[in-house]
Amino acid sequence: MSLRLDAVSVFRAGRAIVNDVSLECVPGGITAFCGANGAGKTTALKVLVGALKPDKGRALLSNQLIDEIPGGELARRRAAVPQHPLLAFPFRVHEVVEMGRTPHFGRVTPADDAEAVLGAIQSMGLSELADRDYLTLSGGERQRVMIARALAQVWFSPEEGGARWLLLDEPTSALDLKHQLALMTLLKKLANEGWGVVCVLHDLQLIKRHADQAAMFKGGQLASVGAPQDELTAERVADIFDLDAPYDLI
Amino acid sequence: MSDAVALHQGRERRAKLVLISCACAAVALAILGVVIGPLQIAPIDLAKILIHQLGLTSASVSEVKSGVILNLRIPRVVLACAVGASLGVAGAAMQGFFRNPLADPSLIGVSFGGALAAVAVIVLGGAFFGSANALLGPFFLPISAFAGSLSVVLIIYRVSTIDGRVIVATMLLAGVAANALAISGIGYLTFLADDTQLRDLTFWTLGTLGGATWSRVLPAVALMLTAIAGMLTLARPMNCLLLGEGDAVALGVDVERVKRRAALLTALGVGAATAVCGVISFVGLVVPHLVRLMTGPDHRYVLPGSALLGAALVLAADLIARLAVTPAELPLGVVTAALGAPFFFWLLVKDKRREALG
Repeated sequence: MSLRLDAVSVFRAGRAIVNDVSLECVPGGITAFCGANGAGKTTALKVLVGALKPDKGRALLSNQLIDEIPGGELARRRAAVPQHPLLAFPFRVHEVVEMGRTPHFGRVTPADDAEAVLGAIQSMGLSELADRDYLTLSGGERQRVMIARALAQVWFSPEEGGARWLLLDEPTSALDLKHQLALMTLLKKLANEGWGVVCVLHDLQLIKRHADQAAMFKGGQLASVGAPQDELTAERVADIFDLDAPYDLI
Repeated sequence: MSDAVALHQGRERRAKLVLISCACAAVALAILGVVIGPLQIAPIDLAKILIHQLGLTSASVSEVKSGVILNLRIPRVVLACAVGASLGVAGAAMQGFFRNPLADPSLIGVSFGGALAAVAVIVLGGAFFGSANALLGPFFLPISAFAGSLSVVLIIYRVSTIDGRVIVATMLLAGVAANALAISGIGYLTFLADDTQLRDLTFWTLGTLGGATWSRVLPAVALMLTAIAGMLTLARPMNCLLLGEGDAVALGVDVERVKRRAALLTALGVGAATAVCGVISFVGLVVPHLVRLMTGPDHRYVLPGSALLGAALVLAADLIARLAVTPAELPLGVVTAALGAPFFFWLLVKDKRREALG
């Protein structure tokens, strides 16, 4: 049932940007990737998504090699939101969310698709914006639309069985405090319902409050993994971020 | 619940209405294209001739009239429809492929790449390509143009992308370079050409539907229809591609395959169109934009809408080309450029304003 990296390395220009990382994420909880800029968090997440093939090691979903799972099936089992969305065409918000239903085309009824789209829009508090042109939205609103799209993608349990996964790269980077908390509460609720959630987060407070597992990245390596309260001690934070003095989280 | 569904249905209904209107416009213009000309033909005569051709009646209109209709006007109108549809869809597909609404086959050199290959075949002809010519027969010219167009698509894509992201300025400038290179090539071949070839070549660079005969039209139309049908199947994955390649992969889209198909099919559509009627510029830019304004950017409507509106626009432009300076005829490319270039300016100004507004 787990999503796993097994001794994964990724090389760019002769340098290991992810170096021998082994990590297991289990459904039912939130795993947060934490670390300085360039520590390899995004790259490791891309390997988990299946968008990047590791140069060494294996990425596995329920003990199946992710590379070997057909694209459509994989897309019905996990959804992902990248850091920088590129959409430059004036789609309506509900149309963007509807794109999340692409892997289900021809497999479910239009009513199911509509239910998923509507549910995702409501979950992200976008009902008021549903008919707005995506390009006229603010950065935070766009980010919520893209997360809603990912929710719509895995709204129902996959026909292939197993857990649903959400893989989010800095999902709170453009959100205000209220929406950050709303998102984390939602992710927590989904995790309690059995979804697997993995996200890159920079806000240590959010990790401490909401994550079940913190994966600490440093220099392309996984320095340690554990419960947030154990990982985010003043000394460990100073070490991970190369600070001069211990840093206490309130 | 009903809100989002209603929104969705409202847009869908509107888009379908747009498609039907475009189709009606194309049919009306096609009929006009057949009946209007130096020899005026009453629509009722057209109906009689068609019915006679189907073998339903024995009585027919004069031989001359039916000859003009069946061998001159109908092939021309069929060609106009196919060329317009093909360039319209190719423009839409190319804009999706480059994830940018300024991509257009004639702007970024795809049309002239095809024209260069076609002109090379005409001028160098038997001497260079004898065996291929014999093998492919009437398909040789359109397939050569396809090869020329495809080379340009691939070069522009290689030059203007970094990590799957398209640098728009580079794409347009690479198009300028590709156009310049192709035009200089055509210039050199013009220099080599003899007098008869020369007259053909002039028409080539300006674009025309003149001289459409069934034997020239049919092979190219077959290739264009193949390209259009292929591109229409790419609507959903192309929507996902607009989100960015990473997102498209996460949605289960085989991005490389979609891109490969889009490149091949656009080149086929543009190449085949260019092979029979030269460079018809700006159709691929203007048409998808107009359709998007009416239906929104969903490729499920933009692609078929661009086919229908493209056909209507080229039919209309051809009517203008034929009627503006009767009894002579303007090159079609001149008409489409005169309509399309100001439109391009307008787009640039509009984009600049948006940039300025942040």
